[in-house]
Amino acid sequence: MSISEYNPLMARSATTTDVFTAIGEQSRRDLLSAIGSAEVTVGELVDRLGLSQPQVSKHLGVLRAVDLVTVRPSGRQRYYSVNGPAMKPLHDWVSSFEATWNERLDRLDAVVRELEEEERANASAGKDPEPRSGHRAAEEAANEEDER
Amino acid sequence: MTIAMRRPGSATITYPGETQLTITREFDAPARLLFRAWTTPELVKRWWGFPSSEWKVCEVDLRVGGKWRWVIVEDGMEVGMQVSYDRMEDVVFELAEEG
Repeated sequence: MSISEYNPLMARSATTTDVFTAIGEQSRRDLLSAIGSAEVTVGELVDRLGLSQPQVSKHLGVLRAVDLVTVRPSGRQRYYSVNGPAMKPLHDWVSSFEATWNERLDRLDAVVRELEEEERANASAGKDPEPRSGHRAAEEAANEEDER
Repeated sequence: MTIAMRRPGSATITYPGETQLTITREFDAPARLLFRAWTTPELVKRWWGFPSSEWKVCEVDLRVGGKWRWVIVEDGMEVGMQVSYDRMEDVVFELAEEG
């Protein structure tokens, strides 16, 4: 899975094009964290982050452009909140690495399971559980050393 | 004979340091068999990389200071790496089990 799956224009885009570039700046990640699961006003964000009002507004503008943040006007106030579903491309992208490893380790699990079955079959046939490889023989020699 | 239930677990990924990545996964199998699967080239080729990978090199020089070298071709791109064996902890484990 590649990032371009979500937005083929990303490579030549400005910061407002997609969620990946939108959260590329630390201040905007801080802003998202500061909003969290609440509904907040620009004033509250200014207080919390110690940024100027125009800076907060500018960053909110970028986040809104990619739909990471939504606004609800109420009276004279505007309340900002995080739009969780818009983060899905971020989550999917990170998860793809985890999935790769899970699949790889599932294959390792299958190999080990087969080795175990082989051992079991050999044991019931009364054979040596595994051929003596070089390093195994060396280990056994070392083991005898230890026991002395 | 009882057959143990096997449920492939989920790996967890943690970032203990700036340049470190730890992938943890539990296996319901003896450590010595995992050790074999990690250090026997014919077995490594069956699970490392991607199912679609074409193997070019898989060499294991199993001793402290030795290397595990692998090269695969994936999507027409050659990817390779060398891994050094710093310690042989699992061998120690094996000795303990067989001793």
